[in-house]
Amino acid sequence: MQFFFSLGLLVASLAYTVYGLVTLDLVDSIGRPGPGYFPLIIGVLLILTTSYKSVKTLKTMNSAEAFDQDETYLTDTLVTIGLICLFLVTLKFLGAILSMVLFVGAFLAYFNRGRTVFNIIYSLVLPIAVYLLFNVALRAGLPKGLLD
Amino acid sequence: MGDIASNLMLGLSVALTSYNLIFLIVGVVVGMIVGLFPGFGPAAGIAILIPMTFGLEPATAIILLAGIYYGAMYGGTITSILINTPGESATVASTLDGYPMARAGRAGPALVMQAVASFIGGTIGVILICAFTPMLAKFASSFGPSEYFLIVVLGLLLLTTMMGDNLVNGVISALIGFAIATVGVDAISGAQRFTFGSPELIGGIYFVPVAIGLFGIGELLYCIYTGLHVKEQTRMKISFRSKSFWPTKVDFVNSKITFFRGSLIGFIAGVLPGSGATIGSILAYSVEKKVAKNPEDFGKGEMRGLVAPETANNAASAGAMVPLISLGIPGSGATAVLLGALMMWGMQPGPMLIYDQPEFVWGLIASMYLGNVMLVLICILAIPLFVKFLDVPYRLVVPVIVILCMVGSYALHSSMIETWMLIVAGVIGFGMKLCKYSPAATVLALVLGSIAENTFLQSLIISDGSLSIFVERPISLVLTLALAAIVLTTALLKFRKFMSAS
Repeated sequence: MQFFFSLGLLVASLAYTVYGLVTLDLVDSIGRPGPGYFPLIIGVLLILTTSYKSVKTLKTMNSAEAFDQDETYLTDTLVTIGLICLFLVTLKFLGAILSMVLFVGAFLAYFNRGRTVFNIIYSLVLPIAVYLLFNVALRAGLPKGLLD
Repeated sequence: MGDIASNLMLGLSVALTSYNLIFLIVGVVVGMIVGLFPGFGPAAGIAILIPMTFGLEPATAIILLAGIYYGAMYGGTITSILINTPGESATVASTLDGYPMARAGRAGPALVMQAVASFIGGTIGVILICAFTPMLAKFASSFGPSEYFLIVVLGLLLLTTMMGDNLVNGVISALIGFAIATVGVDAISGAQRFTFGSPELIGGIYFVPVAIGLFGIGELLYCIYTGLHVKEQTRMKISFRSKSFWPTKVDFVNSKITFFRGSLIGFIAGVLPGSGATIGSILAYSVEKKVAKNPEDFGKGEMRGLVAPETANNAASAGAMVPLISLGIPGSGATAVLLGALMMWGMQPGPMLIYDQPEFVWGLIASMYLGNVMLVLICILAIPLFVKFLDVPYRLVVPVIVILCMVGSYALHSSMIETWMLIVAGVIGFGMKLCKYSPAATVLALVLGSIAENTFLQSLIISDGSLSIFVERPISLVLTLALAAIVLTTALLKFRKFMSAS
C-alpha cells in the first residue's frame, strides 16, 4: 500500500512539474521570478522526495514488517466511499433531504443490520434535523431537487 | 500591566454579551463531544463546523470555533483515561498514568484532576498570551518578507521533524499543501496557474473543503478501516455523588508545582511554530518524571503523570494562539484551520490585527478565560453525562459526520466542484493516514502557501535575486541559523541511528 501511494504521489508530482514547466513562465519580461518559479521549486522537491520514498518503500515492500498484522476492513471502507459518492451524485438531482435520507438509510442497512425500525427513524430524523439547521437556521440554500 | 487590564476589560465587554456567551457554551460543549471521538481532534471539529458560522459576526464565530478548539482538549482526555484511547495526539501522554488510575478504581479523581489541570494550564496560558501577544506583535511589525518566509519554513520544518522516523513523509505532506496552494491566479503576475481553463479554479482551491476532507472524511475512513465501527462499546457508569469520585488533598498537594511547571513547558511548546500541544504534553511528562523522587511510579497511576501533560496540552493550545494572532502564522493543524477561518471572514491576521481589530483580538482572549471557567464546571459536573456519549456505537456517528461534512462543504459556496474536492481530499487523507503522512502539515502549508510564495518572491525581488537577503538582517540570520541547526541536528541523529543499527 505504502509503495503504491508513494508511486501515485511521484506520478502526480511529475505531472505537476511538467505541466507547470510547459504552461508557466519561469521569469517575467523584466527578469523577475515569474508565475512558474515557485511551482518549479515545489515540483522538483516533490519529485526528489517522492522518488526517495518510492524506492525506500519498494525495498521494504516484501519484508515482514510491511504487512499489517491487525484486522482491517477494506470492504467496509470502500462501501463507505461508494455511499458518499452516491450521496454527492444524487445531491442535486434528488435534493438535499432525499439524498441524505437515502445515504443514511443505505449506510445503516449495511452497517447496522437487523434494526430496521431504528434505522428508518434515524434515517428520517437526522436528515431533517440537518436540513432545518442549514436551510432554516443558517439559510444556506441547499438543493431542493425533486421537492422543488 | 494597566494596558493589559484595560485591554482585557475591552475583551470581556465583547465576550460577555449574552449572544456571545451562548455561542461560547455551544463551542465548548461541542468541542468536548468532538474530543471524545477517537481520531477527531480540534482540527477536524473546527473544520467540520466552520460552515455553521455562516452569518455570524467574526468575533462570535471565532469565539465559537475557539471554544471547540480548547473544549476538544478537555474531551480528548476523558477517553484517554477511561478506555486508553486518546481522542487526539495531544492527549496520548495522558493515557500513561490516567488509564492505570482508572483501572485501579480512581477514574473519578483522574477525571476531576484532569479538568482542574486543564483549567490551570489553560488559564496560565491565557495570562501569558496577554503578556506576550502585544509584545510579539510589536516586535513583528518590523519584520520584512524574508523574516516571514523563514518563520513559515521554520514552522513547517518543526512540524515535520516532530514526525520522527516519518520525516520525509512530513516534508512531502507540506509540499503537497504548497502545490495545492499554487492553483489559481498568481498574486504577483496575475497569470492563471493549474486552472485547466476552469473558471471555478481561478480563485484557487479553497482550503475549507480540503481541510474538512483531510481531517474529517479521511479520519472517518481510517476509523472504519481499523474497525472502530464494529467495536462493542464498554458501558461506563460514573457518578459525582460517589465519595471516591473526588481527588484527595494529597493529590492536590503533590501536584501543586506540577501545575505550574507543566503549564510553562506547554506554553513554550505551543508558542514555537509547528511544535504544539502533542510535543508539549510529552515534554512535560518526561520532565515531571525526571524531576520526581519516585520516577518508578510513573506509568502505574501517578497523579503527577496525568497532571503534567494535561496542564501542558491546554497551555500549549493557548500558546499556539500567540503566533497566530501576532504573526498570522499558525503552528498546528487546528490553528491553521482557525487562520483560514479568519481569512474567510476578511480578517488579515498579523502584527497589525491587534491594533486594527482590538475588540476582536481581546474578545477572543477574554472568551478563552471564560471558556476555561465554563469547561472546568461542565467537565466536573457533567462528566457522567459525557461518559454516556461513549456508549453511542461509532457506526451511528458516521452518518452524522458525513452529512455535516458534505452539506457543510456544499453550503459554503453552493459548489459541486468544492464538494467533489472534499471527497477527493477525504480519500487522499485516508491514504495519508494509512501511510503515515501528515494531513496537518498539508493543511498548514495550504493555508500558508500564498504567504510563503509571496514573501519568498518579494525577498528575491528586493535583493535582485540574491539569497543573501536571508542572512543579512539580524532576525533573518537567527532564523536561518535555527533552520540550519534543526536540519543538521536531525541529519546527525539519523546518521547516529543508522550507524548504531548497522
